Amino acid sequence: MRPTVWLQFVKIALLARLAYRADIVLSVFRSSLFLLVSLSVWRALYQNPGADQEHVTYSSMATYVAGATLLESFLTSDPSYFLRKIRTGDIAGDLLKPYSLPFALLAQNVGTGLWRAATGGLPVVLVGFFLMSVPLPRPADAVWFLASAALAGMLYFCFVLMISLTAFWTLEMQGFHDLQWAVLAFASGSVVPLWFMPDVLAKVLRALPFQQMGFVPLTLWTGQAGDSGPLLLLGQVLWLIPMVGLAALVWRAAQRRVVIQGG
Amino acid sequence: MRNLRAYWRIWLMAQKGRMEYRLNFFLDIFALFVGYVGLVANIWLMTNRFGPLAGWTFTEIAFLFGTFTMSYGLSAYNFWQFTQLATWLRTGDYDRYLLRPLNPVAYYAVERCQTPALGQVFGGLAIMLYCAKLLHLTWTPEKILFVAIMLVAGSLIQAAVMLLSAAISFWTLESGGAWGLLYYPMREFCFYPLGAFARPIVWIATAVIPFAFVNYFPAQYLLGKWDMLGFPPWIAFASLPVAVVFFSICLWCFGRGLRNYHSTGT
Repeated sequence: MRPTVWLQFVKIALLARLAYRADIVLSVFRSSLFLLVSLSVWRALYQNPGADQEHVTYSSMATYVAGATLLESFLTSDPSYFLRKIRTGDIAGDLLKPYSLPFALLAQNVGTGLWRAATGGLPVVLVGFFLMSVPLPRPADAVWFLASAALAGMLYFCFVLMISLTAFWTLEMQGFHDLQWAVLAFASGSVVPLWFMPDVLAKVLRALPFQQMGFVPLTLWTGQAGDSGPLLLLGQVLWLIPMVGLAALVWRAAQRRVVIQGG
Repeated sequence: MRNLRAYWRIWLMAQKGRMEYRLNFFLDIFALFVGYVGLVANIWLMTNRFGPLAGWTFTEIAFLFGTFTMSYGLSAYNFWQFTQLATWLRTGDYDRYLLRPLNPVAYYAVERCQTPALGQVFGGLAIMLYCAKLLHLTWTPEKILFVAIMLVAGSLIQAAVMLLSAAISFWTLESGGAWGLLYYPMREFCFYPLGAFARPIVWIATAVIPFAFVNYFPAQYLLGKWDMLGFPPWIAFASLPVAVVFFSICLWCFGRGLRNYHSTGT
């Protein structure tokens, strides 16, 4: 797909979100409530005797939690897309169009993600800073985070694409989607960072791709990565290559599986 | 009485319809279960590293969580769809429920019942019973009766919040606002002991949106903990009246919203 066409897709997705601008205040309020719950819980945990010996302080952890809200707002996608299109039979029309459907979807997700990060994630980080005294990251760390979040977004897209393509076989997938959400919430380390996990579990999760979509960018955001930023990004790229390959394979197999259920 | 039979048959048909997709049905239940295990796992990781949360051990928090999940499942079974009402109103699909000679709340609640929520009911029950065993809680007839009342009260309170968010969408129809989604951050306050939160939040969860009566206060009696945060101990037994009053208020709001409603015509 030509880059200009691709950017048009991003733009259309952005414009489509404009219709929901009335929801901005509500969704910021909602995310701020989530942030408030997490901050309260971490604060209460840090009040336990001995917690002050943790190498990560409460304020770093607060930054981590706020960063997780920002990251989550960016990692969005609509996994029910294929299910809906297969149910209605519209998938046939999609496959006839002169562009690659996964790339069009990626563009859509980038557009939606940018919109949600700008109107949902960033305002919550500011709410955290002004109302809940959550420290902002250093500018350099924020830049590292942005690069890492973009890679995390690509990984996430491949992951969700593969899960949603199972709809071509099962013709159903709400359950898979819930499962994917559950696994990510735990294994990505975006709620409880890998630092605080028992050693064995942390080792296992470090070997899996999920932490690349949570723990890795958030480590950069809090500045806990020190000067290992380039190394962490390289790790993400190394995961991205097989994930893209695998997603492409599944996509090719899925196209051959198309069963049109009628309109 | 005739209406009751109508509801019964509508419910049976809805239930049958859901069971048509059997694989999906069990997958949904399994997925919901894993999702909730994931939440508990995160709490375990936190307390494993940092120790008790606001004086509550992991097993005690998991007990709270189990009781919450059970009453959530009970309320979600009939009321979860109310959190999605804004969408139903926008497409005009809700109008169907206004055109039948039945109560538009009860009809919608029964016809769109959420079968997978049963996964939460049984999952929550399993967690609660297991934690009760770990905590050496002895079950007496009074306690079993108390749990039953707590569940009724807890699910009424949560159903009321879902109704309230639905009621708001009658007024915000034009702007679209996804008010139903506000339920999710609010219920998070039930996942953790209330003492972990600042005083204003404790007061809101007690006196405004009474989530604290779903599990935190009743659990004080069951666990014999009496960590009342300055509230009198009898409040542990106040769940049912609080739930009835709160549910009535929210139902009234829903009725007001309904009278205010003009179909979008789409």
